[in-house]
Amino acid sequence: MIVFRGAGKRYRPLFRAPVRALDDLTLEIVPGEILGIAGPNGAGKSTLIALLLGFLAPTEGEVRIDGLPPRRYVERHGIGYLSELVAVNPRWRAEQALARYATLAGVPKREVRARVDRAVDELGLAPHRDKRVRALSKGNLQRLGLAQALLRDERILVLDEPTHGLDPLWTQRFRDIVAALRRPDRAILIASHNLDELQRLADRVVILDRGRLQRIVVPGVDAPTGRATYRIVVARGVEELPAVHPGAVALGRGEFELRDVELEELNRVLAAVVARGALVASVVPTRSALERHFREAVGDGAGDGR
Amino acid sequence: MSARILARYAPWQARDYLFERGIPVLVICTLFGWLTYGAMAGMRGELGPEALRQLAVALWRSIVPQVALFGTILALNGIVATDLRQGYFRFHFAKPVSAPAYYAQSYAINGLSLGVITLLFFHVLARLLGIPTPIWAAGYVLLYFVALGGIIFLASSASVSWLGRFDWLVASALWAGGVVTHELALRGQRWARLVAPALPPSWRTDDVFQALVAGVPPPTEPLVHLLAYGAVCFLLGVIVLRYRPLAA
Repeated sequence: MIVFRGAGKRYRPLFRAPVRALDDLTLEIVPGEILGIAGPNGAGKSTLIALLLGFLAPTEGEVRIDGLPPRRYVERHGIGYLSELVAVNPRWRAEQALARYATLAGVPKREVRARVDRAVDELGLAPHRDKRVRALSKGNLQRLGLAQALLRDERILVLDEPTHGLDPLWTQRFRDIVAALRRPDRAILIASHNLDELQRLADRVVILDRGRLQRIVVPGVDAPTGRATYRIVVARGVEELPAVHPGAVALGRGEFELRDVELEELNRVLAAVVARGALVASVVPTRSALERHFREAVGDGAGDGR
Repeated sequence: MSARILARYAPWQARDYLFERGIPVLVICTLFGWLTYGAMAGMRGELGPEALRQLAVALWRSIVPQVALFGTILALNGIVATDLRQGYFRFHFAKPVSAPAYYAQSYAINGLSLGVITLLFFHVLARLLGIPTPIWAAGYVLLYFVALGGIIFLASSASVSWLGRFDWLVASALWAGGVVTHELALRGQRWARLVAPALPPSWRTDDVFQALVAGVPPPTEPLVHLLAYGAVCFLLGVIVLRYRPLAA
């Protein structure tokens, strides 16, 4: 469905050295898939999305959607797109903006009203439908952006930082909406700094850094290599854990931290603790598997704005 | 698909013109009208009917080119560049819509709307001044729109980054440059003779205007030159939009 073949993008500013924003990206995204895109600031996520939408042309390699150059595909079929910065004319009213976007998306005239109403209800915009865009809060503007992306049943959805500015309730609601959007003939791309979100939603996560594809992770399948730190809550027999593993750091109320241990060692400790009659309530890595992959892939400079 | 969608979107573009550009044009027109009507009203007791009519025509001649110039600049200033700079293009052109077709339609709608607004203004002013509505004046505004508008459209389509704020200024400077260079070419400046054909034939608007005021058909050569120059610039703008990256 979507193919990046050796795709690269080099910017040539007038008075500065060329900048390679994306380098030799080869990637295929198939129908039915939810693909996460992660990376520190400046990793090339926005460039990848701009190439996919045809807003930029690759300087090397090619990008194809159903065999077509992206711009031609978009002009024929459209893509449901939520940009990182939601830019809507501030003078428009929320409902009017959605009616305009529905028209541009090719929603039949007789269905525009119903689609707009559905999007307004689904994204909780009813109290704000007559407000001007400039009067919307950041979260409401983000929901308006998401609503316009969902007005038509597109086969490709691209969501760039979709939960940026959303409160925890709407973040959860967004996850439910995306889960409901999964369809065998639809590809969904989600670019996010929120690794937990990608871990929950994505089938695969592409980790980019400095314009290069560093790693592709399948959350829940690919166990990260190396050592990790785990937080363990013991409901009964609190004294057993330090007895089995003297290095366990007590955090109070039956909570312990096992720092820098291999997965095998963790399992051995847990088995011994349970065998001694303790009741373990939860074991959670302090960093998710995806986060550990991310750290391994991009190093300690992650998020430093390179 | 794109053409049908754009046809359905046309009323929204007309509405955008009216609220964002048409109202400022009406304000400027009203100001010109008020000054003209004030000048006429002050002379009513002092001049006879024929002298008053001549004064009305003279005042009329002075405001039509001003309305055409400001109307055209206001109709097209930032037509593409503002959307690119502000990022509005992102949602628009993720939809099954062609950017060149979208802005070409916007250009046409803004031109037609400017024609309608100025025709209404000229009609109201003519009634106030007690003279027949000079429909040719709206035609002149449209000619001006095509001739100068083409180069504003091109400047806006080709603009990058912060330069997009000044598309109208670049186009207006070229428009004025056309007059100056033509004058210098007439005085024998060699470089001006070389450069003048590439610059807008703004100096030819006067030939057309004088003919329209006199009530005779405008001379073909200046008319064709102005229209062709504007049309070529407009088409170049469309081609630039086809091939330029929309994102920075």
